[in-house]
Amino acid sequence: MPDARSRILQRVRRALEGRWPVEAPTRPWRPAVEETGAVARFLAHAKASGVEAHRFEGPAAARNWLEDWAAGFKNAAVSPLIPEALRPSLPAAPPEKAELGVSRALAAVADTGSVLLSSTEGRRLQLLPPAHLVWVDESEVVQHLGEVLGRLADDPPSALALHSGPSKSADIGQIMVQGVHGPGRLVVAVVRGLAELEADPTEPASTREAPSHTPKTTPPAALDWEAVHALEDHRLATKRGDAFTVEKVTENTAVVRVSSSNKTYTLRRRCLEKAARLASAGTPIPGPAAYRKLACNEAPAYAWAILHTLDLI
Amino acid sequence: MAAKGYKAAARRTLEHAPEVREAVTRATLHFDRNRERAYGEVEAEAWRDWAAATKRHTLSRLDRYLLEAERNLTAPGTEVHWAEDAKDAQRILQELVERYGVRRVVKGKSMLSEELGVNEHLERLGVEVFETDLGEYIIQLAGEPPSHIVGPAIHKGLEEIRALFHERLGTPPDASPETLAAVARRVLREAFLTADMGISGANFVVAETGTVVLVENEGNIRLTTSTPRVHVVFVGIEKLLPRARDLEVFLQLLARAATGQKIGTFVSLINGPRREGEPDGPEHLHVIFVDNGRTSVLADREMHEALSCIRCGACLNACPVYRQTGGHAYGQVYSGPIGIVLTPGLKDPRLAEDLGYACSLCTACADVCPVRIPLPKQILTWRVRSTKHAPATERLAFEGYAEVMTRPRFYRLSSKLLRLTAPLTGAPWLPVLGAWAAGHGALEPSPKSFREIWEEELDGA
Repeated sequence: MPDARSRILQRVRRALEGRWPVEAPTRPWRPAVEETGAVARFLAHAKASGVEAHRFEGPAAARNWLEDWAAGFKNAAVSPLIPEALRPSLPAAPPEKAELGVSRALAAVADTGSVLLSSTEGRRLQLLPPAHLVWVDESEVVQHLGEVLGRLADDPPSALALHSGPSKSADIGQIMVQGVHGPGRLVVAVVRGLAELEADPTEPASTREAPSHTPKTTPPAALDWEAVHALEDHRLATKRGDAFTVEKVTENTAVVRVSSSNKTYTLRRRCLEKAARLASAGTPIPGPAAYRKLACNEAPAYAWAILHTLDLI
Repeated sequence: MAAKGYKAAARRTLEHAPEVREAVTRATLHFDRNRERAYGEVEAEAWRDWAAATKRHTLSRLDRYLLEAERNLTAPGTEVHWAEDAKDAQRILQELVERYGVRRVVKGKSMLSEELGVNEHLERLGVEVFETDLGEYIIQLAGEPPSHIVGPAIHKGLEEIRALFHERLGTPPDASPETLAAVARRVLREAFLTADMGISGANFVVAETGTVVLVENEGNIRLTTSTPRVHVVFVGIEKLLPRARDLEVFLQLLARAATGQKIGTFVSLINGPRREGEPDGPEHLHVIFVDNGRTSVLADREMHEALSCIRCGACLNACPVYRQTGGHAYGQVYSGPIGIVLTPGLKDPRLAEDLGYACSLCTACADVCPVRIPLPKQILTWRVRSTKHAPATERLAFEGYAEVMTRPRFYRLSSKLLRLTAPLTGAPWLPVLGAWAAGHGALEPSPKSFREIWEEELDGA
């Protein structure tokens, strides 16, 4: 006897029988080109939706602000992804008891004034404390929402979320109330040089302050990209034993194809280099979970396997 | 509800609860003004064209996209179920409740769960259910169904909510909205942290990535989908989008159409159950694809576009009929213009005989719909279809009217006749004109017809 699934699909097919399929619009929506910079637009839009948005020229300035600002709280639940220098000096508390939650955003979107958060750091600390502080690197602020949606196709964590303001409701007589279930305060701090600080957390933040408007210098990579090139067309296996092939290596990315599902994932050179740097500085990266936590969220199983093959971690 | 359901319920509302009209009108005008401003800030016409085309495309390949979504949902460990109707959905839910030993459920706002009678079924099973959207919580306390897709409690003013909270939760009778919200937060926070299962709907499901997308302003849906160890998603089979990139327009268009925001304050993009190494999140994720009449609407060549609906509520806010009574008078889960079109298709075509007339054919809904559903045309179509069941006298009257209007000689004769009998048209005792006369005064025709005046002028020239 056919089950509900096949009966529903059969009814769908019968309903569509004899109809021409409607063509999809030829390409995803292409938003307008913006004249204002992404960071300025982000800050303006976020503030308009009730976000307390700040911008810092470097981690040291951010640190200074944090020390004063965080003094207003008793305790905090802090994401494991936050570098030491930007963790508030407050006693740690579980999210359901904490007065403040501190997150590291993957990105920020100027169009909508949103920050993109990942479940990798934990979801409760993003939701339960009445105030939520979110750090994001200046280079991670993009103009358009479409620019961050690609992450959904790239071995995403169990949940991503866009937060665009404090929790609010007008369900009681059309009167706006803040902090209904989620945080009643959303504070976003855009910091120049946060990613560099994370890549090389050994140096104290104060000495790392880059003078404004000079090109960023990346520390030399422990990863020889040529070695990754040499893996092209090689068949490797993840720690769990899933086979995949390094299909194509370009200047900045490596594409792998998983043998069982035939899915492809793109690994960024920047991420692989970051992990290699951390490993060469003595941080142990025993498996994909640690890679995900310390380096990048993208396809950690495959990225880790490549670095492991090259004896870098 | 009886055949005369809407009319009778509307009369009851207007006579016995005039405050409903006041609250609903205020709220919908507010929503509609915000929508209008928000459309004006972007290339709304182009967005709407694009979104409508994308939805029409998705529906025209729905079988393919459903299979793609199923494949990509299943890959990271989500379990996918299929339910043909409410009974099926309830049975699946019951199995899950038993499998995980669920005693307490927190729910995010979901119109589909209203369709399926989820709360009633859970209560029959002895499971405690908490609606966690503030508006839904208010009407759950009051024992009422939602009256608006987006603002389920907009029919209630502050005074009524104060009285309700005072009676049920012991707040002071003059508590401020902030106090009321804080009390609800405390009650529901406890529920979030102790519930075994979270139940939500879905605004979109992305086929390409198997992502469940949820949009809200309070954070209750994020909590519902994050704190309990089991998360169950009810999703109508029409909610699919092909690609992740499509969300760029849909997330922004939905928010602008619904409340005039740039984007919902919280957007959840759920890709699977908690992964290894993640500190929290549900261990089990179940997605239930529900038909419940949707394939019948898809098969209906004049109605299938209604499945493009993204439940923004813009048509309700723009509708001059909805504004008078709010959603309860429709007696159905979906009210307003989209409710008139969807309900007969999902449930029973005969409902159109009643609902089809909760409309003035002003077409305001078509002007605001973000996915360009031809609502007025579809409402008219339901009216045409419902004439098949109209009383013989009414059918005869309209057939006679058509005869007269298409024959010049009959027309001239009857307009002369009308000129003589015009004073009678104001009389409420004329049974044929009863309803009409109730809203109109007597006709005052000019002493001569237009044709007569025209011919005299020509003669004079």
